[in-house]
Amino acid sequence: MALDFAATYKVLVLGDSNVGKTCIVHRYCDERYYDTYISTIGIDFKQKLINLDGVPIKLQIWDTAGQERFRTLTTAYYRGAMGILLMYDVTSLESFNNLSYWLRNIQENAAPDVVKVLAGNKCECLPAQRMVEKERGDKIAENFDMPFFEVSCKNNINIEESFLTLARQIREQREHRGENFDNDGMQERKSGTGSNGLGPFTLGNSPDSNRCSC
Amino acid sequence: MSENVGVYQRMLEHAREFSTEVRQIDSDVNRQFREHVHYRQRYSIKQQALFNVLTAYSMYNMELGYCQGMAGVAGVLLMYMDDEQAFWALNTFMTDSKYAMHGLYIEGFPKLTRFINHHDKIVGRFLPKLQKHFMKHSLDSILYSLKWFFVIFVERVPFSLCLRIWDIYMIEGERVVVAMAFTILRLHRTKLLKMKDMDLMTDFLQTQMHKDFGYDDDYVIRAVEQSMIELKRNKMDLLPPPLPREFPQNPLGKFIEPDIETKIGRRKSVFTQNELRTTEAVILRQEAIAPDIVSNFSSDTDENLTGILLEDSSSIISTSLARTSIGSTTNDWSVISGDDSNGLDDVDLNEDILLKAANSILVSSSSLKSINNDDNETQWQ
Repeated sequence: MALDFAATYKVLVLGDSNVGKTCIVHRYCDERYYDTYISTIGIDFKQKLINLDGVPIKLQIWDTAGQERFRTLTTAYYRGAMGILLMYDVTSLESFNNLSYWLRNIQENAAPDVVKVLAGNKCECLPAQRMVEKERGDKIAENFDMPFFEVSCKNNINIEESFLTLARQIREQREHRGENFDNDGMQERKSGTGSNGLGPFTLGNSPDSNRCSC
Repeated sequence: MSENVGVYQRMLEHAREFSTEVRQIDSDVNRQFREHVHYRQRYSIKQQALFNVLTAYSMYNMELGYCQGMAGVAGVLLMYMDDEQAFWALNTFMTDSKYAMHGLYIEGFPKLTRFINHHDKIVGRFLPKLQKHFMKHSLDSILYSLKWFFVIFVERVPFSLCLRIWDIYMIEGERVVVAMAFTILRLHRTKLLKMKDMDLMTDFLQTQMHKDFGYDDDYVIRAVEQSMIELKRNKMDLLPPPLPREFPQNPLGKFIEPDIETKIGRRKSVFTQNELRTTEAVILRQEAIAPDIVSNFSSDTDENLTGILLEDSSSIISTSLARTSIGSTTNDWSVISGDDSNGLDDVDLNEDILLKAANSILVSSSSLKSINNDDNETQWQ
């Protein structure tokens, strides 16, 4: 069967419980906002075909349960992730403070060069409800070298931008990796980074994969 | 039962003072069964009851506390009971050896691991083609079956069917869960085999099947009954025995002071041994379904072993098995699988049975040895 996309990018959505992880995934994949949500138990999966600057890409998005107890399951999914959308809720200081936990957890369990984007959700909130100023998000994003967006699932602000930025960064990083002989595609395949069913990262003839086999 | 008088109220009071789970519970109550008339309105009577039952229970069984998923279980109970009854029914689900859901929700989810491993074994034995198909498309059974085991099919199959399974669950215990998981795949085998993409399969098993199961409830229940017989015949109807730690280690109602990190809601940076073991097991599963391994996956599973009967869904219900009794089934069975030809009565019928079963649960909960009132008194002062 012919594949009509050039590559599959595996993305993991992480963050504390109730910051809006499932919300952002549904908003992005289904282009809908549901006011009430069911809480994610364990791990859910959605995918979306996107047009990344003219190249069709399949984004596999893994949505995780935020409650601490579920980390035994969700941590197992870090390894195959190429990108991580890390989220907090601007109306919850606790969710922001826990970013250091998430970042450390990512560092310990994900690939060392995994791409990260930070998203502060519920930015449509009233000023009185806001517990985390945008500057604080900017600062932590700068420290950890990740793009940052304040997003609103409710008002559809910066949702597309967050995912596209993540996808572009994954592409860039793969191109960079392709230039590096030590990390060429074959090695990658053997090392099993793409396990959990993603198989080889690049399928078909994307420009990236051509460059890989230099 | 007399020793349980006042316990719920006391736990509720303690929860107000000490519970570290209130925010998680509150946010889950906000997301549980919001399309149900009882839970539609924020802070409705039943939403409050759900919050109260879960916070009180998180104090009563402190080793367990609160785990996401429990809101679904308590939420169903509260549709048919008041909060104190639901509290004790929930306790029976968690601690009675027939259900022993405690082990599903504690750190590392040991019972979930048992369920999933056993399910994989059944699929490998009875539906080997489907298992290979899943592997080929890298679909780990954790992904589709977690909620089946964790919340007994809530939000994975239509609610009327879910209640039918719950009815049997109350009488039969976890055997029906094992059988239903198998039955779902058996009934939808052909459809799943046609799906050539993990996304299509997960969408079907997680979302579409909840909206429309594709078979009417009576038919499914008969198929489940048949599965139970078939599994029993092959000695696969029961899970392997539980680990000791799947049951509460401390007397229920005993207060355990939470550590400072838990109190302030900070996440623990270090994984415990139990947690590491579970993570490792999940990683191993993922490696087992990596595509390059799958291509070498030999067909050592014997496709003929079981039975043509099982591979051929059309013959499942060739004869009416509605009244066949299974094992230790009580006379309630005939009602459950029975000939309520009018589908509209389903919900009422279920309500009846749920209440009946709830009563028996309440009775059995009072005889739980671990409830020791003296202990509670001294611990709680």
